[in-house]
Amino acid sequence: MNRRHVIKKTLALGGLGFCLPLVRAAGHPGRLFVCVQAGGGWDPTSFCDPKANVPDERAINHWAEADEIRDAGGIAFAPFADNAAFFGKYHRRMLVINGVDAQTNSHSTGTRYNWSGRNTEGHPSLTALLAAHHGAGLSMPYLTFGGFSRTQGVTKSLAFGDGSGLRELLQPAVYQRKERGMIEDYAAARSKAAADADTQGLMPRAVRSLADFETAFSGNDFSLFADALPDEVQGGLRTQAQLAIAAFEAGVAVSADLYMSGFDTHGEHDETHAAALAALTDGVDFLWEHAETRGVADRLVVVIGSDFGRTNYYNEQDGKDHWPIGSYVVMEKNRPWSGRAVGETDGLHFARRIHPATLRRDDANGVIIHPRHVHKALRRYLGIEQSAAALRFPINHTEDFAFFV
Amino acid sequence: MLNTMYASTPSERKPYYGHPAAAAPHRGRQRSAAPAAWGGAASNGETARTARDVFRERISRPVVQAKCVHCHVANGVSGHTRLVFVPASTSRHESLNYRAFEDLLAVATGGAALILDKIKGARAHGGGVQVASGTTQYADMRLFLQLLTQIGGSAVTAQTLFDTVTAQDARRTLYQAALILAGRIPTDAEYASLGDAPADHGRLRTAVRGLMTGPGFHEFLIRAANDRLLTDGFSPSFSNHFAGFVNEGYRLGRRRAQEGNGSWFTHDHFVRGANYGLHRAPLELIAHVGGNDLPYTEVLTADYVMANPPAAVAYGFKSSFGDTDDIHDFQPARVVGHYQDFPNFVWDEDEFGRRIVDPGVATDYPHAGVLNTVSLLYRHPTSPTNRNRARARWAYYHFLGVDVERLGRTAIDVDALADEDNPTMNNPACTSCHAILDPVAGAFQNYNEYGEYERDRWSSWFDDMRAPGFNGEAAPDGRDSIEWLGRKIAEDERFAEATVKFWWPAIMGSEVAMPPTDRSDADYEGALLAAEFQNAEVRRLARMFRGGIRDGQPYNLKDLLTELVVSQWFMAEHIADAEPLRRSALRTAGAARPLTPEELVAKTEALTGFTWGRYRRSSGPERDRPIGTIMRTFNVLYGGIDARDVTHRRHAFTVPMALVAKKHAMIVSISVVARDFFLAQPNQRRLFAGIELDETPETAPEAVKAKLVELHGKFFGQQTNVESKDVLDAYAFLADVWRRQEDPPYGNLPGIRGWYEGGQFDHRYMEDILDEALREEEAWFDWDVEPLHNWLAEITTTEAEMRMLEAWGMMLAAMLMDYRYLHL
Repeated sequence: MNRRHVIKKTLALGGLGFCLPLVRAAGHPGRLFVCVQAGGGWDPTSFCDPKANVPDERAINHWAEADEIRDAGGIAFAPFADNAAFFGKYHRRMLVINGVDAQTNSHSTGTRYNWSGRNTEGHPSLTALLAAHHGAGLSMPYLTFGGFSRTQGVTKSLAFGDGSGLRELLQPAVYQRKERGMIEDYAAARSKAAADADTQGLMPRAVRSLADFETAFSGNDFSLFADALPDEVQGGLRTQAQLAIAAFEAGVAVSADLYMSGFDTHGEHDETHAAALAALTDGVDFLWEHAETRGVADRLVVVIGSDFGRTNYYNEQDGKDHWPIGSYVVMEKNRPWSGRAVGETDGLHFARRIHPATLRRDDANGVIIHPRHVHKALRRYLGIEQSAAALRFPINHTEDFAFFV
Repeated sequence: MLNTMYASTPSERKPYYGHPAAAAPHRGRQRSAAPAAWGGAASNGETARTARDVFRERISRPVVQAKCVHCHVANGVSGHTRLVFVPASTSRHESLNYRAFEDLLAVATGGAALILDKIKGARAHGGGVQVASGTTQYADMRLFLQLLTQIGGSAVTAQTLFDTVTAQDARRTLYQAALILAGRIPTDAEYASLGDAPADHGRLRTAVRGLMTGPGFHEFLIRAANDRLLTDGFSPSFSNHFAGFVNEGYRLGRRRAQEGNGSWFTHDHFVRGANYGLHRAPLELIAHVGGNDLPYTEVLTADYVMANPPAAVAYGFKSSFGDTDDIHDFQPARVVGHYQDFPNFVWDEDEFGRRIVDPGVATDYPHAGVLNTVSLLYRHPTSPTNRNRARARWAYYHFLGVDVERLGRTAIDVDALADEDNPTMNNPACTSCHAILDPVAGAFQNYNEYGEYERDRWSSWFDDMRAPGFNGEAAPDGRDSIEWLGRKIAEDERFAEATVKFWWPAIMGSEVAMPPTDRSDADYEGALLAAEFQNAEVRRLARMFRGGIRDGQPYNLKDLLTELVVSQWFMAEHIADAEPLRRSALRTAGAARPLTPEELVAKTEALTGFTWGRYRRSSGPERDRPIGTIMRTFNVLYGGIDARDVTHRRHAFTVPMALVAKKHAMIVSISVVARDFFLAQPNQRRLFAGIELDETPETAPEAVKAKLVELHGKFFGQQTNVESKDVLDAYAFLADVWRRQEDPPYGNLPGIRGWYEGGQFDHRYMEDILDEALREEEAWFDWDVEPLHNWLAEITTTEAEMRMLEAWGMMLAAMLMDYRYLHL
């Protein structure tokens, strides 16, 4: 037998294809969660908390010199970027929470506070807590594409980058299917034996590491995800949306952090911020459309936010610097709490005191809304307030806002 | 851990002795070690003392007056807190300050614990660590508060944390250190150097330090430094300030136009290479200083910049590079061709582009180590309102170990943040941080938002901001301020601690623990204990680093890395009790973690010579150092970082990581066995020297087992013998595979096409065994596989050989996807 013969034989047999066992994971029939992080500090006054200019004050927004605040179903928005299309299309499934005071001008503190509900280090993201509770046992419950994605050990996060190469992972690799199965069975048995061995005396990290490996090695639901992957990715936030929805559709993930930067507009604010906001709303629109196409839109909860807001005036470079007051946009279909904006800021974008129960301005008995209020309400609404993971990182001494009733 | 788990004979457990504080070099007279546990002091003859006695004798002067009162005083930075003292100049200050403690404890639940946490830097104490745990002074404070409140607590302390922990042996540690530091496994000679006393840390230290050489160590230094500085995610470009860059680009562009496509490569190579040199400069400087045993302070004081050949040209520096095409060869250079005021340049323009005819007078360009490298400045851009504060913040963080954002209040009132009456100068909510931060920001005064030097960027630094300086000292004139800052930081005692913190994650796989801030968190006590221990370790190592570690030179990075490897935290392997607090505190102790993508690629390359998907050439900066599929496609998926959006490594093994590992194993294994058994000469074999394919489980079982023993040693760092269970299990698998192939004969033969088609193959793997003619044809690069087909066709083999080949291939694949291969 010569080598050419071997090659021909192999080529003839090589087309069998590689297929992982098609055993569907338990999946997750409930809601699916996406946090869209607008990195750098967005400008709510040019988005969901629009501000006209105030006489005798410096201009808050140049667009307000020639245009007026718009309204979609009772939700005000700025006539800026592609806002009109976005709010016009989605206002019914939006809850806008304005006047959220992050109490910082620091990117790291603001990011941490807005996505963990705590302004100190050492706490997991909301997305991680959701994955820990709703995605326990799934092979990749929490997807992240950047931004704040700390897990603090409550779950495992998985970063995809741009998602390239994912399909490649399931392409046939050298050996025939039966031989691949033998190899993997042997290796899996070795891993299981190691994980099942008496780990009593091992350091906690080693125990965890062995368990992680055993779970990952025996995970067999990636092919479901691969089957759901799009043929072509569309770039930017859209790619992230495609990958997240594919994982949701396959039942292997329950939460994802989508991330885009570009909002830290210290110079030439309007031009740069308009482009960033347009990309953001395009990405969120695509997320919903794609979720609809793939049949998971009715289960989707989307939270959009940022580090903080931007100043109520332009600096000398026609930019806007950091400002602690921000907003959240929470989106879900067919909910009684949606289609409205709550929270309030004054004409210069200072937060006003809001009564937690009525959600109306109450200068006497209200409180300023902070990210921890939003997170506390989200934890309750999304069913994780009493979860083991959330109880490890409680939000104490915080009023209950009736955002989702 | 692993050698005990898998080896036939468990390693001997070696208890640790002492603790970081006790292990620290003795500096002057010390009191006998104070009891560390809560309540210990009270049962140690101290019960007769009163709280007032202890306060007067041990607390008032050395703690309250020497430390606390600087901030906790009326109108002081902490004058708004619940604990406000009076200075010693006030009559009855002892009574008043004693009363201040009493008052706080009367109203604050857990007040004593709060104070003890605060003084050791926890719970967002604005003053950071004032009294470190483990010190006599801390024990005094605990005793004082205990007497005041009769508080109790856990028996596990930072000093007793490792009392029930045993260390792994030296061989295991050397194996892991080699993978981390050198991207390879130890040689037999390195193992042998450990001698028969595996607990001998002296020999282990020598062996570990010996790993720190060559390209593998260089790559480690670059990677670890980038994990901190995150400069690889951003790519600055040379500007018109550099006439050398402009004019060399023009010259090559003209040649390209005149000579045709042949010069494209040269022009492209120069521009890409120069920008790559600019972008890699800070990491290469750290690697240069660390790799060449230079004082680590030089990372901030170097009066040179690291440059590759094209970057040196761009800087106008006359270099002596041996190979001017090697863009990965970095050497010290100086910026001599930087010109200010480029609008005044005399330009010339023709059909080939623009060039600078007369750039004017060259700038006297300052050099301040990494501080003013364009790449690091570009990573943290500034604006006229930010005024370099981000740059100052990160300088503090990386080189002084101070997170400025933790110094002040975490939550700041909006009125303060909206205050337009120069709040950074006047508003107390802002000044506690800005008083420290802003002078350092001012020292970066000559750099624009892109990190470019502009000597006259400001006619003078902002008069509504603190003057450039550091630690209360004013900086000299503007041009020199960055160099001055570098020297001042390097002279600061905190630089050594910052350096330990900077390199800790590279060895331990997690950052130095920060004290937690919220007692309501479930893991608070454990996290606090971990932070106490690690910060004591940081201080201990920093003391040694400053003075020279074990008679070595001061500020020697290799010595510091060695100490990190032989530390309790890294070598921890077993824990004898189930005390929850201890287990919580030791959550990240030990070396068990998955290899990073870089480490996996390096390990496989070192063992087999094969890198999955490595091209012979490729475009971009990696052209001369192709990186392969894992780094090119699966880096982030495999837990790595892109230093831009994904900035933290993830150490939990995931399903996609397992798939990458499996595919990697399949592709590597078949290539290795085919090369070694069929294509390489006996002296060219890498893993299968000394065994042939006619040595089978039937004809030569002992030879097969002996090879498995050897492979277990190489792949897993595991000492086994032919009777070891691991080897017998592996042998049983291999024999099974081999026997089942007797029927059918050909159907399951390994596919060779995966070697060189579809981007899976390593185009460099055959370089040393291809015949000269084939290499000249560059068949690999051009994807012309016909010569390879012909070459392979000339080699004949038998069915029996193919059976054994596949058996070894499958064995190898299983080992390559084993936990022990994929983890430290």
